[in-house]
Amino acid sequence: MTADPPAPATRSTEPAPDPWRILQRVGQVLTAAFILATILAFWTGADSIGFIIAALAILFLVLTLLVGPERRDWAVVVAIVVGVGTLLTALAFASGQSRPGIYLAGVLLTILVYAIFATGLNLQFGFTGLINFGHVAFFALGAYGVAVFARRRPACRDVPSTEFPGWLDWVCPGDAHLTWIVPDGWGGALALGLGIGVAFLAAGIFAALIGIPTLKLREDYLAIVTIGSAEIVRIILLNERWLAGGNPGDSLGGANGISQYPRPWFSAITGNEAWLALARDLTTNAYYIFNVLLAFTLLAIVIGVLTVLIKSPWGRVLKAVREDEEVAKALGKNVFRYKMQSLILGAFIAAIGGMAWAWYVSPVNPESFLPILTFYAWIILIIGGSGNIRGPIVGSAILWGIFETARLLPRALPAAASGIPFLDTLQKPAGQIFLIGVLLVLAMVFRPQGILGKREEMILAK
Amino acid sequence: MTNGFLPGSAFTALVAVAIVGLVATLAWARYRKVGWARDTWQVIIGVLVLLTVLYGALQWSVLTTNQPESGFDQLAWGGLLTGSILALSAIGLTLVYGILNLSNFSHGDILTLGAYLAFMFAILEGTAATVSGALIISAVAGVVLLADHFLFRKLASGERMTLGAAAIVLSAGAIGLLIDHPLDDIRFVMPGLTLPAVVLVTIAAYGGALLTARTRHAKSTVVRLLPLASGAGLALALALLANVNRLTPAYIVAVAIACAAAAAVVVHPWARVHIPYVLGGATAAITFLYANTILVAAFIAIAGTVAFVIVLDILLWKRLRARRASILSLLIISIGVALALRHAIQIRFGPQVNNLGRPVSQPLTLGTVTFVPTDVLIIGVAVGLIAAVHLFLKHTRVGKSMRALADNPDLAKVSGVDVDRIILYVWAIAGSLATVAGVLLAYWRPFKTTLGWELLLPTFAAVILGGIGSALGALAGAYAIGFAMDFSTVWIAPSYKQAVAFVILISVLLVRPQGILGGKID
Repeated sequence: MTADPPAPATRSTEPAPDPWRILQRVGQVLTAAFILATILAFWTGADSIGFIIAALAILFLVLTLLVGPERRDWAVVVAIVVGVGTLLTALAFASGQSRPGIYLAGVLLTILVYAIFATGLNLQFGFTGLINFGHVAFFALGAYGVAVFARRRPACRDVPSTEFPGWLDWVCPGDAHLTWIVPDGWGGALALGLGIGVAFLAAGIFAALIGIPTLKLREDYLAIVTIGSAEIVRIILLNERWLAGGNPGDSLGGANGISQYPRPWFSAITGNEAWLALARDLTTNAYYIFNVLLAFTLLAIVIGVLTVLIKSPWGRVLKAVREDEEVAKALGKNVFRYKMQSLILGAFIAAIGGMAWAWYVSPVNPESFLPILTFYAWIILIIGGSGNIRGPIVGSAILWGIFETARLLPRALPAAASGIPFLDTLQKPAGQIFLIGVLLVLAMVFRPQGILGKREEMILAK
Repeated sequence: MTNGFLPGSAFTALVAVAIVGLVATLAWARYRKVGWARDTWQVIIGVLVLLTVLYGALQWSVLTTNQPESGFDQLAWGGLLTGSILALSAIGLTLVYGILNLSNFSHGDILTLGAYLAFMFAILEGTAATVSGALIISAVAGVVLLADHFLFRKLASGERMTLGAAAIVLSAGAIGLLIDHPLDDIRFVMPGLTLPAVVLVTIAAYGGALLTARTRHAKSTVVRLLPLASGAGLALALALLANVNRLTPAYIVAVAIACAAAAAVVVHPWARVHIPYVLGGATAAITFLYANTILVAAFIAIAGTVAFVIVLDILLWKRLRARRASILSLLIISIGVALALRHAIQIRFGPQVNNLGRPVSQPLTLGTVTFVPTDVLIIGVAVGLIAAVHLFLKHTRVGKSMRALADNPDLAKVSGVDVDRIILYVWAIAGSLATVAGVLLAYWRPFKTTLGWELLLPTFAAVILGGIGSALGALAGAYAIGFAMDFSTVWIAPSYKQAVAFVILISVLLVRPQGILGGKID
């Protein structure tokens, strides 16, 4: 028996003074100009992505000013992201990366995508108390959805087709068979839209299928079922080649996954061959600029929508469910429904992360969605602070900061680094996952609220 | 029937025999009012019903379009193997789940730890092998001591225990003898230990023990161990004499002696007191005799794994229990332990596929089942251990305390159950069963570090199907899942075996989340 947690301090609702407003406007304009300048500089071949990091940092600063009452937390986010960015920038140059800009953009993309991915888990675990050990399944469904439909869409044709199993032909009228076509012009955009829709639908249905048998039972049943579900999705993707689509002659699907699919920008819409080639080329600066901006935009949208949702009555019920299900039930709330909505919405967010990932990496194959990815999200959440909307950003920056530092440090300081213990271990995947496991245990025992969470909200002790 | 595997197959005959025996035993149990028979037979009936259903499904499949590649018997044999290993894993998991209220996601990786510890010792040579030989002798002594503590001390009161012990020893011996083990597998025959010396030491030790047994030192541990050591020596001498590598008259005599001893235990009151020591010695001896490196390594692995889980409990789980940590945080911590453990193993041993040196042997054919002799070993060890755990839970003080603790923790504490001590036993049982499962699995097929992790989902499915906390339920669930996974290959690709376990898990949660035998430890 413990005492009730202290009531949260009442937040100041006073409007910000006028000079602040002016400063905010100036900051916004400056940021926009700064980002534009960086993009232009980069586009023309000046390989200096450091500007982008600086620009994003300033953007974060502006957000800080806009958000007002939660200024302190955003300041922590900015400090950590800028700190990690500075460290990695220094290391990238010191270790003699051939294209430090591209390298840093890659790391930044990874941080952003994993922040989106972990935000889905934050909704499920941080705000609702659902233990999801199969989060990667939703990520994989999102990635496959957009990769499969990037340039093709299914259609009914009278010619026999080997691409879909025969039993799927019932969706076509008459004797027509289901096959893939490559549409022209705006049809490509339609296909992509269809892909995004299918990805959301698949993630949502899968989440519902998991939720129906487990959400009325004790917490650990969901954990047990989800831990299997991620593996099942991977096995299905590995075995059912037709799911990955493909034209005859392609070696698509199965272990090969999908490769060489265009990104969802102009290329997919116009079908212009030159643009398509650019969109497939993983080495151009344009490719990185586009993806960083896209991932950043998606993260901003997800965080923004979630902030609104969490502050709404709906979000307060979720927190109540997390704190004490019985009380929520006694107040007449349909706990099962709220949990299910949270699970599905979290799955959608993970699917968005998967889409951003698919547009960044290539190829997408079942081996890129190993169960361990789920635990990247978990450690990001626990380090950053679950139940805090900004937690995943902090956690993601720290996690990838650690991994990339371990990778670059020996090259940057060849002599000194040899004395650092475990550094070589940390460069291997096994060592990284070992670290994740140890950190999970230590964090849950000693600081379950992470960096930004509130201890009384982190339900370690009953 | 066209393809001939259905009627008159060996397995069908076995099932028929089992059903007849079952009915007879049930009648006997009802007549004699023997309580334990009911639960046990319920499980067996369940498994038989499942087999019958699968048999029918397969028949139907044959009659329609599919022609399965392997017959019912072969599939059932595979299911038996899978189920046996799953059962060993599931019993440990369900005990921890029921008593500690911890759904331990690191259980699969504890299994992996056991397999890799065994692997580490199995590949040792030279001095390292000698050192591990010394270790194994102490490990065997420890195990026999435990057996003595739990089984043989109860003799004066429990004939059933004696019977059980004798049966275990005999079946272990018989299985060991039936399996083709070349003598050069015996690595730890000490050099310079000549035959006369062995015989002399044996006689001296046994005589000494018999003499001291009549003095006031009779209850000291050393004295208890002496006959065991002498039994081991005796068996070693026999082995050297016979120079066997397969079934020989000497072994038949040894088994006959053991049978006579077991019979004597039941019949004669004097024998009831003394023979168990001989039986204990025989157990040690058989272990010793068949001390091919894997068996040796398995014992060391058990000791290592149990030490690991107990240290982990003291360092981690005990503190969290004291803090009344929530289920959510326990789940996350256990998954953290799982990740750290598995990848620590991978850092040490690498991600490649390993072999535990299973001997290459000619497949045997019995009726329509084709198998290798080591399959029998796997099933035999599993069934023997499961029987031992069942007896332990039913008839020993610690076992009863465990059941009490799972049933009603507060009442158990008030009644004077030492919770911390019982929890150590729970970890010891879970750790050793998981190790045996891991070693058997690694012995069965090539393995890598994901070995236990891949078994985790079917294990959880078995535990939930059987009802959390119920050892008998876990047993039944494990065999049901094992059969279902192997039989599914008739209709769907073998890579979907995991998915089959998953679908069963989901269906159980939808239909009967408390499991078939939910709620208590049997």
